[in-house]
Amino acid sequence: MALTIISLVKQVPLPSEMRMGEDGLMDRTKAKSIINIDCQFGLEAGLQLLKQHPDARLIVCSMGPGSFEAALRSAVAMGYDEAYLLSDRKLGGSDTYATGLAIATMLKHLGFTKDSKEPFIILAGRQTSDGDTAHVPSQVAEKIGIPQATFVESVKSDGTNNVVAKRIIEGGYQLMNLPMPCVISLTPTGIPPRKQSLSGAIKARNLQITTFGIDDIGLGTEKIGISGSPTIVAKVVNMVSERPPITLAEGHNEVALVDSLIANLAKGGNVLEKKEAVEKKEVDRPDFPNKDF
Amino acid sequence: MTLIIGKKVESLTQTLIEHGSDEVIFVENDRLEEYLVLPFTSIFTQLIKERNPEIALFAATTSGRELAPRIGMRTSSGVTADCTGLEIGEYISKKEQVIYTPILESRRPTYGESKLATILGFVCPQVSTARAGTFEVPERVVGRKGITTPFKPNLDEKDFVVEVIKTVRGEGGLQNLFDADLIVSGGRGTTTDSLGLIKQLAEALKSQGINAEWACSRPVVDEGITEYARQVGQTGKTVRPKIYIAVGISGAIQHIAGMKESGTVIAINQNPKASIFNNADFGIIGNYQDILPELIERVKSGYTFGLEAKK
Repeated sequence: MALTIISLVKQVPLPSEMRMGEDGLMDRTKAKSIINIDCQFGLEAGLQLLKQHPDARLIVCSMGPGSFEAALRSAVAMGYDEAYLLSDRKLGGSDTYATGLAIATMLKHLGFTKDSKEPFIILAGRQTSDGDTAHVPSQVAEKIGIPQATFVESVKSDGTNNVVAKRIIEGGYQLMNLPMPCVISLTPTGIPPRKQSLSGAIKARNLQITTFGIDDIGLGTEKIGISGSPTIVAKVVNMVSERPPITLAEGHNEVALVDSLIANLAKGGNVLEKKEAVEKKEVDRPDFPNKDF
Repeated sequence: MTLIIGKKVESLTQTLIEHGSDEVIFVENDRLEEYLVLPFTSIFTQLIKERNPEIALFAATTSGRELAPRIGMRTSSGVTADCTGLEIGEYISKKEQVIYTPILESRRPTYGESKLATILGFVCPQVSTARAGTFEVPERVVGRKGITTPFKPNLDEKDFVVEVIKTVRGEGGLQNLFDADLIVSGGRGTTTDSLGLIKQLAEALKSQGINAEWACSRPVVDEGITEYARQVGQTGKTVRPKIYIAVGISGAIQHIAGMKESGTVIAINQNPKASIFNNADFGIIGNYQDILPELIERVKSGYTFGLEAKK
């Protein structure tokens, strides 16, 4: 009964190159991409588990456009064996709920259900740098119907069907014992992700990535994409600094500088000049019926 | 209404009412002394089915951030993570020719904290998690009256398959960073003495009866000098003290995100171009190893940045 180690990864734009499209959704077409940092720690956690389960099958999964194949190949170059990509235009604009639902549906399609005879463990990053929600691991666990531990720094197998996870909590940590199958999400504080190996890179180059569309996994369109997602991004505005210009201390030595600071504090600082409130255009409120939902 | 789950929680219900809850529903269970995502999800979902709330809010803590999406998946609700603003508004749907009202507008920073997005949910309950430290705790009104309701959920043994072997909490999780009136925070520029002067300044203020605490920015944690719990910023804590003193902190946008709600911000940095100076009210350009000893002396002789000492 070999263990299957499943890593979920997301490809993200390099944080320095993040751009947003006109529609308020992520524009992924231009930026250079990497595997999300937290997901890299998830990949490494999977490779660490391999030490205790040398005969484990290692698979990596992602959901996104075809360009995400690059992330899957990188994971294989690190040591993974198989790669699956869920890619379908109809998934575009999915929120976290729809994403969790779609990924869980793909995993179930691959045979990973709560009643699986074979044990498996799903590893994921704590959160992504372009979304920052940390939702998807929990949503996948719930949809498959298996236990979870999130914000985990390290995970060890006890050699049977259980794993011990060190979960980071506010000001401390918890050690938890979870039966497999389960979902674990990893913080970027554990064992640093390894580099790609040469043999891995060769394997990755020749790898056949299995790509599914939503029809292949039996996922309908009702609950995915922009129209199926329960949430929408209604608007996005730039954040502006709300602090007035600084008052700097003056003086040639620390005594004078500190004197000046204390005097400035006593006097009070600058006040933010309120920009004239932009006259709000009275938006035509259409005569639609109210919907109380 | 508020739902509280745990062991010996009935005694806390009055506190919640005094802070603004009209009804506190409590689940008293010895096995739920420590938070466990599976039974908590089940209890919340049972209550949501029974009461049909329009909105369900959770703290964006390590517990809330996994609990909310798990519950949301079960109730088919979307979840908005880590909100810094929550308002009630309306949404005009041209496609459906209806106006959704009232609707929860959840605002959250996005794109490295440079933009603020408004997220709407169309399935009730609309679920959001609120970033710790960004919302003020409603003032306590002693003697405020409200309803206290016990709730007896159906608990499934299967929800107890995960066992918490042990829980370790150091220094009370540094919750006091959220309550401190003054925070002295050290950045990469103060690692020379491993934040020694930062700690001394905070200690001197404490000796004067000021509710002061020290914190740091991310590079300090990354270098292993202090624990993560002291980190202020996007990936650490969000704090709002009356006075925030940033020492040797360059002012990366991720750090600003964690302290911009502070009352008065004082920056001390030897680089006049540091962006922290664009996000501070008062500043000194200088080396902290010169400035801080002088400042510590002033505090020792009674200077408290205008804050009133606790008796």
